[in-house]
Amino acid sequence: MNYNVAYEDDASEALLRLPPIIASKVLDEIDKLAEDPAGLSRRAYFPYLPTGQIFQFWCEDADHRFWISVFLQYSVDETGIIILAIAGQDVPR
Amino acid sequence: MSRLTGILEQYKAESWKIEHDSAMACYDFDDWLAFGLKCLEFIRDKEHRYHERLKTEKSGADPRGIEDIQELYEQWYSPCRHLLEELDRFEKEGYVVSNSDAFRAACMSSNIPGFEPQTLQSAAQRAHAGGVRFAKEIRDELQRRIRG
Repeated sequence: MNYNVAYEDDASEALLRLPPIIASKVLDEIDKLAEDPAGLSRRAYFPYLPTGQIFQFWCEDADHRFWISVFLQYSVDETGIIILAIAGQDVPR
Repeated sequence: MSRLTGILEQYKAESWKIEHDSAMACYDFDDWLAFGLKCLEFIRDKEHRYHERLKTEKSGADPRGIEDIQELYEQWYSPCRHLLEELDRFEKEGYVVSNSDAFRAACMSSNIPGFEPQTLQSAAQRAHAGGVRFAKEIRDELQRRIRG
């Protein structure tokens, strides 16, 4: 089952601040996450919201390498996931 | 990395053994918080040094080290909730714990920029109030930005 994906406004802005190719790849990874959020993400650890999940992965293009962290929650009806934050740490190539 | 992991494992295990006991001198607990804060400081220094190496040594630093550092932070955070509960109990009994403010602040800090607990809480509230966008909208916006 594919979960619907919604992006909280600030999370979408954070995504759009990444280099465009990286941002596009992050969207692709989140699409994959929507296919299996339980398998690809893990429960958030203290001090983060205990009802959240964390999804982390590497994302690269020819010029950049980012360690991406995504914080998400399931929607109340559990048919979707809500992306609450996206952070990219630029790791020089 | 494994030696530090071992120390943090021990810190974690010993922290869970702390149970409130009025016989336990408050200063022992205070010392334990001080030790925890030193461990966190060390992890932060290690992270700083790691990023400096990445910048300066083009091929000398392993980029995947960031994942190891992430694990160290998770180990450090693991007993925090328990220690905060103990801290509350000591203070309710009237003890003064000198490291209380620093430890509380450290527990509420985030090792991931932008993931501060208060920021996430606010984002969750906005999202549940309807402040969300969908992937197609974001892809369209991204395309517009790429085209310039």
